[in-house]
Formats: sequence, C-alpha cells, structure tokens
Amino acid sequence: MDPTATLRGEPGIRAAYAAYGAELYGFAVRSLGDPGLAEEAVQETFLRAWRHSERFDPEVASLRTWLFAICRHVVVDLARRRAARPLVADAVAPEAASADDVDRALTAWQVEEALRRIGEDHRRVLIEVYYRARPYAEVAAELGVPVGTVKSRVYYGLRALRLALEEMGVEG
Amino acid sequence: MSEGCRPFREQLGPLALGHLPDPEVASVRAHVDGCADCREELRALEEAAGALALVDPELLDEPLAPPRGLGDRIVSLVREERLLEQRRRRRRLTGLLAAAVLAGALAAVTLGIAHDPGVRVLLEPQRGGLEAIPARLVERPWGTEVRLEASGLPAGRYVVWLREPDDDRVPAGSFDAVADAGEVVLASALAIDGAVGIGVSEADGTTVLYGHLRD
Ligand SMILES: [Zn+2]
Repeated sequence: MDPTATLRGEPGIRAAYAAYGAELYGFAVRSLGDPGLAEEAVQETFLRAWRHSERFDPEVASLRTWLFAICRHVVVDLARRRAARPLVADAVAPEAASADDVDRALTAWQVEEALRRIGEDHRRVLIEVYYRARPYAEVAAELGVPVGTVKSRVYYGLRALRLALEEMGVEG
Repeated sequence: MSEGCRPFREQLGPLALGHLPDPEVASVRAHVDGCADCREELRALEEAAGALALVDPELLDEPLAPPRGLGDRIVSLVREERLLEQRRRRRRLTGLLAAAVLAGALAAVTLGIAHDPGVRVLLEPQRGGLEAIPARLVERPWGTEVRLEASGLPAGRYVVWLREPDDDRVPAGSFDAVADAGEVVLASALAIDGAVGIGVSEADGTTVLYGHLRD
C-alpha cells in the first residue's frame, strides 16, 4: 500500500487493515492465546492508530513497524488486565505475561511470518532437516532430488529467511 | 563471491545449522577462515538459523486468519468514534454560542447556529384533508430544535410535541398557521435521543399529523 496514505480517513484504515490486519491478528493470537482477546487487540490497535495518526512518520518507521509497536502495547495491556481478573473462576489463572514475554512472542511471530514468506521448497527442507531433524539423504529421496539440492535449498532458504526478517525490520 | 568460494558456498547452509559431517566441516572451515566474504555470509546464515529456534514448528501449519468482518467492524468503530468526536466538538461550539445569546433562549433557536442537518422526518396526516409535511429535528444542548414546513396547513392554531417511549408528550410549542407561514421553528426540552415520534395537534388536542422516529 502507499506508505504515505493517511490513516485519518476510512480508506486509509481499510488499506492498512488489508495489508497488516492478518499479521497483527496472528501475533495477538500467539501472544494472548485467545482468539477473542486477539480480535479485541487488533481492533484497539487500529483505533489507537487512527486516533494518533498524526504521530505516524513514514520517515521514522514503516507503517507495519508502527502498527506492530502499537499492537505490542495493546497486547501487554490486555495480558495484564486478563491476569488481574481471570474469566473463569476454576480455570488456571493465566500467568501474567510480562512485556518480555510479549516481546519474545513478537519476535517468534515475525520469524514464523518470515518462514511463510520464503518459497515453499525452501521452507519444506528447513522444516524437514531442522525441526524434524531428518537426514538429508532421506529428505532428498522423498523429494526425488539429489542430496546436493537439499543442501543448496537449506542455504538459499536461510538466506531468504534472513532477508525476509530484514525487510520486516527484525533485528538480527 | 570468488570462483574459489563456489564449492563451499552451499555447504554454509548446513554448516550454520550444525548439520555438516565432521570431515566436511574441516575443509569448509579452512576456507571460511581465510575468506572474509564467506565469513560474513556464514554469520548472516547463523543469524537466520538462530531465529528458527524461536518458532514452534507445530504452529506453522496452523492457519491464523482473522475472523471475517473484522476489518469492517474496525472501520465502523472508527466511523462511530469520528461521529462522537464531531458531536462533542459541535456541542462545545453550540454551548459557547448559546451562552452568548442566553438573553433570549429563542434567539439561540432561531440562529440555527451549528450546521447540523438534524433528523428529517415526514409528518403523515392523521385525518383527511391534510397533506404530509416535512420536519427537521436538530439536537441542541437544551433539548431539540424542531423545524417544520407549515405552509400547507389549513389556517388555525397548532400544538407540536415530541413523544416519549412511555407515550408521554413533551411540548415543543405552538404556532398559528397562516398563508405562506413558511418554516416554523420551535423548541422542546426533550433530547432528540429520548423522542420516539413527533406530533402536531389542533387546539382541542386531536392529533392531526404524526411522524415516527424510532420504535
Ligand atoms: Zn569464500
């Protein structure tokens, strides 16, 4: 979307939601563990963005970065509020998520999102050899490619991941 | 990347993940130690490899689409908040101006200070021989301003009121219909939100026109 589009108007809010709503929602679900609360977090994020749209400066940070910063605050607020009054009496009261927990969830979510952005072939080999710890030869046989190709996909997959994280503004 | 790097480059991926068999590690390390390009490349790959550790792979396949309609809800929340903001601003302005002309409350009514178009409603005839007439209700700090087009009414005196949900009537004033009366401006203490309808009665209390506002 046009980074200079004003958030002050409805079209601006609509465009910002279309571009980043799903990612913000994903982060909110991961960090709050509750789809209902996550929805509230996303709503509140866009409302705050709209109220303070004059503070958005594309020279300082991308719209995405700015929205995530707002959402992070909202999530911390919601997590504190929820910890203060558990909804169900006999449910295990959720641990109060600290700002550090939320930051960890935010970074993890960005990596998850970055993994979704890289090519399917690259993601596939990273999942097999890294997360599932499978031998390269086995993965190569399964995919019907030489072992060298699996190695090279690991290499290009990591490069692409690194690039995607950089684009998202995630510090290395 | 120099030609000498080529055989080692793609080994750097598995190396960054700690997957390279020992015999290969030695030769790749030997090259990397003497090659600034590959050292930098390996550092970047190791950073990406470190990031992988933060993710729970089980979650990768879990779709996380926001509920349908969330975007629309956000836009309508923004719209609502903007309306509230505008109303607050208008109230402040109207309040200030109304205070300035407090000497005659009616003066404030007739000034039509803020440009609030108000709520339009058609008053339907409740007996024969009458035509529907348009009215406009405008929210004011002191209640509701009522404007109606009286030109089409038969000559006579009329009483205007706003109806509350419990059927009580809150007066908005009276007027004499004369030829070419034009627009009549009246005032009722009832807030517009509290009115479910607006009626016009003849002097004897018979309702002759009525406009429905809400259930
Ligand atoms: Zn090299």
